[in-house]
Parts: sequence; C-alpha cells; structure tokens
Amino acid sequence: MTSIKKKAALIPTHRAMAPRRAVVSLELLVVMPIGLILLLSIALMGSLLSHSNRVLQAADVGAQRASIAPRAVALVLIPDVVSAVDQHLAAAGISTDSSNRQVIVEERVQSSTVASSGVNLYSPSDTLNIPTNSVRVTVAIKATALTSDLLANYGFSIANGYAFHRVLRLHNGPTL
Amino acid sequence: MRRDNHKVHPRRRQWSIQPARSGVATVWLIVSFPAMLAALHLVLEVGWMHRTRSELQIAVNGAALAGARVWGTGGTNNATLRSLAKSASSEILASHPISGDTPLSAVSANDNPASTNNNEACPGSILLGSFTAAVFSAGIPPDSADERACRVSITIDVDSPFGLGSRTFVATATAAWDSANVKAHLVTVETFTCL
Repeated sequence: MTSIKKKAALIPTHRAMAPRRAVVSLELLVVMPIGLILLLSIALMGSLLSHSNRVLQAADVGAQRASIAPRAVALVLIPDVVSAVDQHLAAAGISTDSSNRQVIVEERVQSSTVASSGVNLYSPSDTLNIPTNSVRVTVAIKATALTSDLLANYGFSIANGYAFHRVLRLHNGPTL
Repeated sequence: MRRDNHKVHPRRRQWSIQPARSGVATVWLIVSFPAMLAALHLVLEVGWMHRTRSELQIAVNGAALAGARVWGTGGTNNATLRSLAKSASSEILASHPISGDTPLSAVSANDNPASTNNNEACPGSILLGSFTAAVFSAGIPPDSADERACRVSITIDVDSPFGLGSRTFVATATAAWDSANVKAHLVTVETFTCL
C-alpha cells in the first residue's frame, strides 16, 4: 500500500506546475477560437437560412397582394405590397426598417413599370423580363437585420450581405 | 503494474506528466472537429432543403393559379384556351429558378389539344380538369367556369450545394376559378382522379 508520504511526493510542486499551466493555457488560447468559430458558424448559418425562408414567404405574400390588386402601375401598387411584406416580416421578428430592407415591384399588367421602396440593396439585371399580365415582387433584406453578426470579431462579417427572393404571379385581380 | 510509477523521483515525475497533458486541448479539437463540421453541414443541408421546398411550392402555387385564371376568364372552353392556360402555367414555373439556378423551364406543359382537357398524360405535371366537392377529375370536362381547375404537380431532383448528393423535391397545388370573386384560388383536393 502506498504511504501518504509517497502520495505527496507524486503531486508536482507549485513551482513546477507553472510552465505546464502556461503551455496548457497557450494551447487553449490557440484552439478555443477554432472551436468557437465553428460553433458560431453553425448558429449563424442556421439563423440565416431560417430567416431567409421568411424573406421568401414575405416575397410570396407581397406578390400575392400585388397580383390580386386592380390593374395599376407599380408606383400605385407598392404601398400596399410593402405593407403586406412588412407585416409578414414583423411577425417573423425581422426588422422592417426601410434602411434594412428593399421591396421592388415590377408589373406588366397595366403598363411596364417598376417601383422600389427602401434602401438600394439589389439591382436586378433582368428588370421587367417577365411574362405579360404578370407582377413580380422582390424582397431584399440586409443580413445583419436577419441575424447577429456573430463572426464579425473573427474577420467573417456579414455586414455587406443581404438575402433576397423574387416571386412572380400572373395578374389575378379584377378584370377590366 | 502501473503502481511501479510511484517509485519515480518527484522531479522526474513532473516532466514525465507534462507531455501527456499539454496536448489535451488539441486532442479535443481533433476529436470534436469532425462532429462540429458534420453539425455545420447538417444545419446548412436542412436549411437549404427547407428553403428549396418552399421555393418549389411557391412556384407550383403560382403556376396552378395562373392556369386556373387563364382558363376561368377565357370564355368558351376550347382547346386553344386550354393550351393558353397550360402555357401560362408553365411560363410561371419557368420564371422561378429553384435553389438559385435550377430552372423549371424543362417541365412539360403536358398539352395535347386532341385529348380531354388537353391532358396528354395523366398523372402529369400540368393538368386541367373539373373540380367539385373537393374532387379533382382530370378526365371530366367541367360543366361550368367555376368547375375549371388546374393542378400542377412537380417532382424535381436538385443537387445539394454542399456536396451531399441529389435530393428529390415534390410539390403539388390545385387552383380553381371563382367567378363570384373574379379570381382563381388555391383549393384542397381530397380525391384526385384521372377519369
């Protein structure tokens, strides 16, 4: 049986533990950020994708509203569409501040017109390239309005990113 | 037995323990890295699948509404009108790229003017038929404009952007014409028949 004296001898002295602690701390300091970045990436991506789906649903709601409205130019349609989109985004807990989101309405129902509301995030290259008698609603939201910029401190900021979705609907409103 | 180690001089013992403990954090990282990477992959894949399914459903809803709208407002039910309805439906599908760049333009309009309700094949991607009491019948010509309905059913394979192979997505929607409210609306089909 090991005596108490022998057991005590096994415990490293305080002085001898100091360099070991330093090595372990240094190692942890190097390794921790990698693990943390991975964990934060999981949270960030999950949140972004989930909220991106909400943006898609908001664009669908906007397109539905624009499609059932009486025939009108985009400028007339846009307040109603923005209201429907904002209502949907707010219900999903997404900021509807006009500095964070953009709503674009394109119509080829009344005449070929485009109207945009909010900050300029997305400039479609195929504007009005839609079938006759249809409307298209695009909703773009700044990524920072969708989720926290969790990786900004590690050099992977989403501050300049945005999510956008476009939904096209045939006009389904009152006939002439 | 390991108890022999106890005979080692305390000073030597300190230095023999150190190499075993100094790599603990690295070992943990090496062990947990694949698990965390797999979790990240899973989150991305599930999120992408959820979004792609929504994109497809929205496109299919729009296509069904377009088909029902054109058929419903077109007046006399003839083959030309039905072709127009199917073409409007496929046009809406083609305007909705799925998962960024997978187009639905290859979806067949399933149009044959010689067949009942212009349905070339049943089941098919775009079907016109009669809708009454939650029953959609692709093989029965509708008696009135209010019975005119369009059913769109799409099955597509989309490659995962995260390298996890191809996934199959299915979406179906049926819309019927409502002359009282002058608009097409989505309906729930309890029974679908090709007859």
